[in-house]
Amino acid sequence: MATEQPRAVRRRDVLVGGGGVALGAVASWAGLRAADALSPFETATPQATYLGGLTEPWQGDHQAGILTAPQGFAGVTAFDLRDGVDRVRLGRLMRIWTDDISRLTEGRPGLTDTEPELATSPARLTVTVGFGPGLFDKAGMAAEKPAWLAQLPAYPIDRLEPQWSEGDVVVQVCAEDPSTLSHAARYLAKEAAEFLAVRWVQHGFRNAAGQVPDSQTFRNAFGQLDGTSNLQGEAEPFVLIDDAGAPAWLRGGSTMVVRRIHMDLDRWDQVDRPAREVVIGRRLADGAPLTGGDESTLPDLEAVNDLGFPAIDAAAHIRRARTDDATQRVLRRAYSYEASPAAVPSDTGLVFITFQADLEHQYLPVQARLAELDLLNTWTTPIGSAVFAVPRGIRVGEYLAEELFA
Amino acid sequence: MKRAPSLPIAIMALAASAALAGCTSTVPAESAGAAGGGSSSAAATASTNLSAEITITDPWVKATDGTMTGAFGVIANNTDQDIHVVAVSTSVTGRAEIHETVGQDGTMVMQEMQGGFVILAGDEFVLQPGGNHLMLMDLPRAIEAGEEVDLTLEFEDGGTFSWIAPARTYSGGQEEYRSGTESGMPSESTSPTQG
Repeated sequence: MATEQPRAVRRRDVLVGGGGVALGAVASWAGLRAADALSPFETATPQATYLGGLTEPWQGDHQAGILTAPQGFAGVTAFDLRDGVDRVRLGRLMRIWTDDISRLTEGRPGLTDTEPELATSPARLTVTVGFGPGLFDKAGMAAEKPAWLAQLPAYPIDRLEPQWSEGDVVVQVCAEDPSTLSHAARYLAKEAAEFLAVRWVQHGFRNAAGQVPDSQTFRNAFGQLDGTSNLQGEAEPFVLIDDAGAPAWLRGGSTMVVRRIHMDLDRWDQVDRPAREVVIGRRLADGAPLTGGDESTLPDLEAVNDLGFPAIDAAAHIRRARTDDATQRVLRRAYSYEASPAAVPSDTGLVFITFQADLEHQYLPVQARLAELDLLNTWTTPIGSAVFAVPRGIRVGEYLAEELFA
Repeated sequence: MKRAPSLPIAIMALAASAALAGCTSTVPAESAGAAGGGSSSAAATASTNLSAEITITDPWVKATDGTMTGAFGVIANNTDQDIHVVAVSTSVTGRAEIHETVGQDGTMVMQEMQGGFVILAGDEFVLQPGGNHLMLMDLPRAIEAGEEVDLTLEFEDGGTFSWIAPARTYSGGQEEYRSGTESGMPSESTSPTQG
């Protein structure tokens, strides 16, 4: 019993500390009653924790939702410009959205919010806005369209469907709570109704907050650790545009690719575990390369097995995706989607979202290599694709992309 | 209805010469002279009390391509005296009225508030769709979402209070408008702000 006593004391200390957090990012401890402090009994299970008050900053040098640790849920909406929407009107929309973003991400209702109660738990809400090539053409701003801003080249693996492709404006809304996300995405779309028509909507999920250890890499619908060799702490220079030649509205911004990758679960079910590991070149359980080590170990692409064949197949995903040029890596911020996982064929896959400072240098070479040869292509099919320019962040006193539309 | 937490906009008395500026959150206004980074201000003259402070929180106007629309927001009277608002004006039309919405025969109709309204000392007055609001009529042109509309309240003692309200797309606020308050007056059955 003597060993139990200090544990109970420590827990109360934590509770007291948790109650003292303020500034809108309140992580209070639900279910805690005053009587608990006097209770002689140990609490059998940890109390549920209210996380909905947590916020992400909406102002800064870069937009939120890029380097932000991925929230559990994403809703990505692409829009087309309505006729007559020009530079002036786009500027008005950006003013409106900036106000909306400032309020919703802080847990305040939108200015004209008809469901204000749905806005009270921001749940790490972020809103990330990008512009497709069509915006510049349609708004009479072709001269300001970045040279790289175009749809990806047609790859032989692509089976692109218009309902998941292209778009003049994109809004990526992420949050730890799908209800908060739904309200914010709906409000932003409502506010834009006179300017934009919805082109496509893609919803995605990762693990909900607190349901897996923070250190655990996201697993996609194939059960694979997704994005193991993703950019880590050194990401910023590879993600944010820091090019003196870039227009002011893009400096500190990024380039965004959204691909919808169908993953054929039905045919993947026919593949046994050893073969699945050969396809990727990693062990499924811990993500370690087949040449050994752990998830963070670099694969030994030269190694051969007992039969003299490459230990990592010549067409394995990690071999084909890997680049010796560290500057070619991209920031993956992917989410799973599922429309009907149990149907045959399953409608399941990945909303593959990447951010990179230089689309042509970082993204295109790797994508071209994978499209040319990757065992994984047998079970995955790109069915949607879009490219966007992501303006830099909103600084104090500004509205989004002010330099582009002012 | 109270919105909270809010970002009330401080109104400096006797700042009539100041440029009108946006009043919503931290978004700079479209109008010229609104260069203040994140700050918002408006102009007011209040002869009631030279140190008076009147604020409006979350002002907005319903965008419309019709001829009528409503203006909304929460006006706070932080002075120690009641303020009697007797009229509203705007540069976008020569006809603006103070309206209330009342239930009549099972439907909500709006009508002019005869005699205006009083904001008690230290109290606030809510202008909202489906409730009391400012009505802009005979609009000569559409008010587009994101455009800004200037509004001025006139007080019984001659003081005024002005602000800028952004226009927003909004589907509500469609109560029928009953022109005048005397029985027998024909109703205008058109929705006031339907685009």
